[in-house]
Amino acid sequence: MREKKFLAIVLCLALVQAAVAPSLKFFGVAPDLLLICVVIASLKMERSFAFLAAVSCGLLKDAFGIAGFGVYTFLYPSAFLVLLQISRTLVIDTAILTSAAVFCLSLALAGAERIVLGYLGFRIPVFVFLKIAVLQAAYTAVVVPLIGRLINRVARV
Amino acid sequence: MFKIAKKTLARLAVIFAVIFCLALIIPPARFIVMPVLKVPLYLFNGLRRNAAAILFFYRNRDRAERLQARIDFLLKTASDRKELELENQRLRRLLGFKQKAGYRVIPAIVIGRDPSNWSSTVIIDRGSSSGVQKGFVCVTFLGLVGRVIETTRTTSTVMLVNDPNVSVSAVVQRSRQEGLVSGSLGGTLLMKYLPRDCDIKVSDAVVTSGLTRVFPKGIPVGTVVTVREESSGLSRYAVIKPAVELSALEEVLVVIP
Repeated sequence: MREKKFLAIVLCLALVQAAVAPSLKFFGVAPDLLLICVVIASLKMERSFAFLAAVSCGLLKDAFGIAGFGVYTFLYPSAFLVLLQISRTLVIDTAILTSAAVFCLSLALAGAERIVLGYLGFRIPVFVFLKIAVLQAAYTAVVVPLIGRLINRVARV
Repeated sequence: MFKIAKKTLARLAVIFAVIFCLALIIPPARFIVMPVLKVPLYLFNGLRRNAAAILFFYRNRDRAERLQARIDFLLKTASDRKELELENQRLRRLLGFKQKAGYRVIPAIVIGRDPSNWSSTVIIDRGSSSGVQKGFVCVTFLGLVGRVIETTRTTSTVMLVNDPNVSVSAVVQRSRQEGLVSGSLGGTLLMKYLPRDCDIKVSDAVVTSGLTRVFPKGIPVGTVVTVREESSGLSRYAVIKPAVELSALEEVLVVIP
């Protein structure tokens, strides 16, 4: 049951990300709500389900985005696998550590996204990239407790 | 730091192969997913607009009063302009000038935006079934918005003019100085490749030049905010405030050439 609720939250957050989040932009940057879902699923749910959730998040983000190759369908499950490896040596059980994990993953994903988007022919100037990467990571990390509480309340994760 | 067994490696390889296959089917999947998600996107967009209307009630009321005063003034100006336009048409006909063709437009509502921060695109509620095609230009009554880069049957994706991947050939309306306008993912645009001795001032209006045939001639792009020198010292560039508030875009007009 909680898995179904979690996937429903993922769908709602994808719609929020596409329709509402642009209105909540801070210095032109919106938080990556779906990455938060991937991190929370990776840390608090069964591995097989967390993987499915990561793929779902990636599919939804790709559906609304311009990167046609399926960048996020590839990157989010990769983020899940990285987090899985890290959580074997480091226990991530507090809100601050979760936020820190989101911050680091967001930065790493930004680098990967720039490489893939560059390969697909979408140019992003270096200074613009650095500004967006850092602000996006920080903003996403700040929003983690809020989304975490929402997921906890609805899906009892 | 991480010791990975051969079995785990094999599993990882299988997982990545599955993800890779999924990634390959994404572009056709989008054509199925977008029409399905169109209705919930409408709903969320409507909720956002209503919430903003309630939250910013006093600001909106103040703005509505100011805009009403401006509408009255502009109606008067438009009436005067109409007279001039008719006179211009009569004189053009007398001189045998070719009449400028008008454009047909399709009104569309913005229902979504690119969820990533790496591009500036919006999703509109008109697709190929309404006659929208890749490459069509989008405008509002205030000025240039962007270009359609992808269409599904019922929706289209528009890349906005503040995306670094959109370049517009433009001229300064007053001095006819040419330059290339491109975005920087922020709230301003850059007009590049201006000669050092160019005639460009703050508050000058910039419009499309029509040279590339991609964007029709004379569409307002924005106004000059500052003029600066390139680090090489060989040319100058102007920072331009877009004519359209791209972050608060709600309706657009798709121009049919």
